Amino acid sequence: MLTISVQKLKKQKWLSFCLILGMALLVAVFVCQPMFRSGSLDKLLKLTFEDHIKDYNEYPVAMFHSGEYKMGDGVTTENVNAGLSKNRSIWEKYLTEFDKLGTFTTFRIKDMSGFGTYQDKNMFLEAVYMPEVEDHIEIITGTDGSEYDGKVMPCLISEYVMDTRGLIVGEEIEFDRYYTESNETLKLVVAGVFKVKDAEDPFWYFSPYKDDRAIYVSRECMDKICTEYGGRLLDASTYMVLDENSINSRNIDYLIECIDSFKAGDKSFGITFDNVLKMYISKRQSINVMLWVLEIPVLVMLIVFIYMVSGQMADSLETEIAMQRSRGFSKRQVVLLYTMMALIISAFGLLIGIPMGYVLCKLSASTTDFLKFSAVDVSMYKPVSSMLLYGLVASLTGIIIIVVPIFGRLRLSIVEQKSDYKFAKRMLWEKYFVDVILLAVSLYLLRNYSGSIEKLREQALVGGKMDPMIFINTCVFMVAAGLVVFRLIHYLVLLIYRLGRSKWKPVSYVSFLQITRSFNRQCFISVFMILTVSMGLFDANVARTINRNKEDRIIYSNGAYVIMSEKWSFYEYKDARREGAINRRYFEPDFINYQKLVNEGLCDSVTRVYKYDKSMISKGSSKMIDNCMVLGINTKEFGETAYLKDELNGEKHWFNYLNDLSENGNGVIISRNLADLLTLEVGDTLTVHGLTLGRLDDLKRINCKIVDIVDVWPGYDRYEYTDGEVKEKFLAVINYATMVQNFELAPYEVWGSVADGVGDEEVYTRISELVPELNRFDSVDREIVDMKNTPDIQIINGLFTLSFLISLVLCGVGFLIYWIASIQKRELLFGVYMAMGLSRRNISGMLILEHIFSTLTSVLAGGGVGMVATILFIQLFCVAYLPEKSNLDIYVYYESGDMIKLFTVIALMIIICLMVLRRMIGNISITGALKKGEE
Amino acid sequence: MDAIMTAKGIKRDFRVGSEILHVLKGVDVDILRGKLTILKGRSGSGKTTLLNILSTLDTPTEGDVEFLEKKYSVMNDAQKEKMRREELGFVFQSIALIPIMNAYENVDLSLRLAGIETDKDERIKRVLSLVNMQDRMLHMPGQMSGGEQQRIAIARAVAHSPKILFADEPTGALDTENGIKVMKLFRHLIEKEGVTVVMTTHDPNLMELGDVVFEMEDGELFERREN
Repeated sequence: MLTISVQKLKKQKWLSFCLILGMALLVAVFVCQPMFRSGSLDKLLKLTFEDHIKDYNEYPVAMFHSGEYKMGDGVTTENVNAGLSKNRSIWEKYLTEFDKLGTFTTFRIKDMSGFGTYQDKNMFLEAVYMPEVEDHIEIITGTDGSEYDGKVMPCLISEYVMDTRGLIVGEEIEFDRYYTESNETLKLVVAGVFKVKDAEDPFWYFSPYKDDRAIYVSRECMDKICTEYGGRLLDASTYMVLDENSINSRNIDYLIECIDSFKAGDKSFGITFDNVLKMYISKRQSINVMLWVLEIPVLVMLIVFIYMVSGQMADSLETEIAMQRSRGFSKRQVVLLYTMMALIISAFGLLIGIPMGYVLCKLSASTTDFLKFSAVDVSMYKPVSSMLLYGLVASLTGIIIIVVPIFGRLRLSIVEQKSDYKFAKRMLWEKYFVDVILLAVSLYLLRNYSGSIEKLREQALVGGKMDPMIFINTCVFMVAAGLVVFRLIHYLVLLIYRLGRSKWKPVSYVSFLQITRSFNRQCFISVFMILTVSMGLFDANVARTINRNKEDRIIYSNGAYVIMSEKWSFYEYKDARREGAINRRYFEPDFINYQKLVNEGLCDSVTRVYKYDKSMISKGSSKMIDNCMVLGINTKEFGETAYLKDELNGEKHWFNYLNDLSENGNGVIISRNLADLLTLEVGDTLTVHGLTLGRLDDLKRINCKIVDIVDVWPGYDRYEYTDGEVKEKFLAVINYATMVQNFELAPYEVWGSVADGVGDEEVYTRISELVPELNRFDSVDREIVDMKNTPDIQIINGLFTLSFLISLVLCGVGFLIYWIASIQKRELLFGVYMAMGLSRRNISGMLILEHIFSTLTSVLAGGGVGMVATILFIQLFCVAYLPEKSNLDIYVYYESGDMIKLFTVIALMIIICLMVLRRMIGNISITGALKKGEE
Repeated sequence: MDAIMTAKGIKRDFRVGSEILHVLKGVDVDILRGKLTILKGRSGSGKTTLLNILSTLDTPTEGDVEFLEKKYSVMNDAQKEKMRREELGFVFQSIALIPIMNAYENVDLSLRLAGIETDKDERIKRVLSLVNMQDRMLHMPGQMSGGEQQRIAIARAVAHSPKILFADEPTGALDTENGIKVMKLFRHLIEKEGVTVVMTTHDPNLMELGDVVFEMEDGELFERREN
């Protein structure tokens, strides 16, 4: 049976090749899934840890046991330490697969009020004992504090405490609330000042350079303070710091499980990365769904492709199947024979598909935009063991799809096969209008989802699982619309044929009859073409739209291509205007440094932007509106530097608003939401309130006249998100000079417009050289690169690109095999036509006409369906991938290049097909074809 | 008797691998107008090759055919195609109706090919009734028996009133009863339409029905017999 199967496959080598290709792609797409998921999750984890490091500047993974201990009665730091070590050893026992970076234990007596010898002010300090601290410090002045005479306890302080508290070596600090039974107060002397040996040392998870209260004592002293001086309550904690790089998507569940069980057994147990885990778990779920959902269309295409090719193969083997049945083969034997063929194909598919899936995964992971591959680090995307299982599932699915078409042909004996006619039969979907029903259902679902778009947005914002039906519905729409369009094309061809039935020349007559009568045969290839073209186009449009809108939002939110600021020096003074208030006087750094960027050709322009992120606005005596961003701008420079899409503020160009502001010193431009909330109109006045050290300052206020009301403004996001909660933000733009005059000078941002052909890194390097301490450099390019690097965008770009490329391959190959197989099958017919007097040219013309009315219309219909699907479904897709509300509406981006690529491939296939046709028709010998017919 | 077609010194060689196969070795035939000519012979005798050459479906290696004072050797492909469309009719052993067309449309195609536009409907119906298939004209080939299909094929072949009807083993795929019916139909067409019929067969039972029988053996004309 194996030999017969191999022979049959050899006989149908082109179809076998196509089936192997389809099967290999199916396996590849399946096996790509777990690898891509694992890589994406690893990347997600890495980025989440990196964000944590950026936000908190600490090792991201630490677990601790922390509690308050009542000392005395035999409880000493030593035995508390032993207990804590025991806790740690339990963690270590279970967490062996994670790399331990270090451990440390801290004993601390909080809020000790003391007076220093050289200072008359009360200080709040905390006595700290850290076992083995001596191994991690370097004494820079004084001694190591080991010499205790039993009277004044030595302690060590960090450089930071020395600087901030003004403590020096030899200074005694007296803590009058801590005393012995004989009323002897606790006195500590600063024996030495230390610096940490290694700032990266996990022992210093809590940096002594951020702690202005810690004074370090020995264990002996700590015990004495607790037992003899009444410092009964001691905070003790032990920490274990793990290497975040040893945590990955495969072992994180185990880590979570361990943490849960540690928490259950120890109420004082805690971790420092709860937020990371929370974020990871919520995003993991959406990544899982996203991966499946984005792969569904590709899988549908592949399944349809395999089914189509296996249907072609079954068609061409129909006579053989009928012969086998007539020669006494049982149905079971015939099915077994074809299952064997399917097994051989699937074995090849598996062999090619698994490495292909690996390559496709790496390729998808290297995308930084739709159809854009970059040399990014893809080392995280590693093969995983489940790939094999996925491959086997794909193979099994493929085998079933290959064998299914055979069942329909089993009933035929050779006599039935010869007399079987299929041309007049209507397909079930056509007869019962399944296409129209499906289209209606899909549109109904779309309407429902569109109605609950806000709910979906909220769900997406908190990382909730999106309803996969939204995405599946897109596929359903495309299939249904494809079928409806195909039905319409069929009616149209029928109409054209009937209109000129008596007039058609033989070539058109035969072509029209061929198209209208082989409707059900052509249905599959036509719908397949419509599906692949529309899906390819839809994928391209969605990916382009998501990418471009994300970029637009970044550019818009930044306001300019680069935003810089540096550290300003200041001094604090008592504000004479208000009792007890402290104010700050800032010294403006040299703005000329920024202007040098312009002079040196790195920037086209730079401008100062005085920005209060959270200020207040009031109208007359009405209540204060908080959460208002106040911008002080130099209108001319701002217009030259900031970026805003021309069309965004309606018909009036935003430069006109700048002109209005420049003409009115006390003018203000406000956002539409503020105007609506306070029922303000142009010409009304309002008060902008200033801040001092982040607090509202009654003395800082400007009464402004509204000159314009805007919807959008560079750098102004109307919606502000905190933990998934949206808050309305307002805007007020006033003149820079007015703001400085009324609010005093404070650190401003410098916005820059980078010159053409200059990279943001060049600007960064130069400005870092120019200014003494740059503390901010935000660049649109950097943010876009970071955005492109996030796993969800990478999944979108990777999978849409993959899907697009596969649709190109399938479209091309599917088209070729269909035509070649269909021509091969019609060789006898062509022989008859030629015998009846049709020339080879006539036959070519006939086939070209068939192409025009089936392929070309299908391709155009596919393009139409793809565009309609984009228009209808893009908002829903964007809610899933761009859930944050923005001042910028979603703008649908089409790139003609994508369409050109798609149509070029199809055109190329048509050309190849026509060349093959020409060759085949040229080789047809009338007598040979007729002879074949006799056989 | 008046010959509508004469073939002289027809040779046809085929290259099979490195060998040259002489299928026809210099055959002379004349086809009489309004008669049923049968080319008889065993399988491999060269009768189908000769029929293909006479009907312009194949070109001889040597020799020439003259039909209505036109020599095939001086005709190009387009002229031969035109001739096949207008002046020749074909019936094949493999039946070869066009499966996507019903009986009516199959006949219609041959009229369109011959460029006949006047009284087309009437003509189609007439030839279909000539083969006694007027009731089945809207049926697809797959809905008819082999004999019925062959009758439609004959109707298609004669619809445009060809000068000669070529039939290659027209009864080969049929049982004896249907075979006899087809032969009777040929006779009927000759009498009613005045058409000339040239057919091949290896069935000795049909010899009696031909006017002229050429018996072929091993690429040569063995005997010419007039009944």
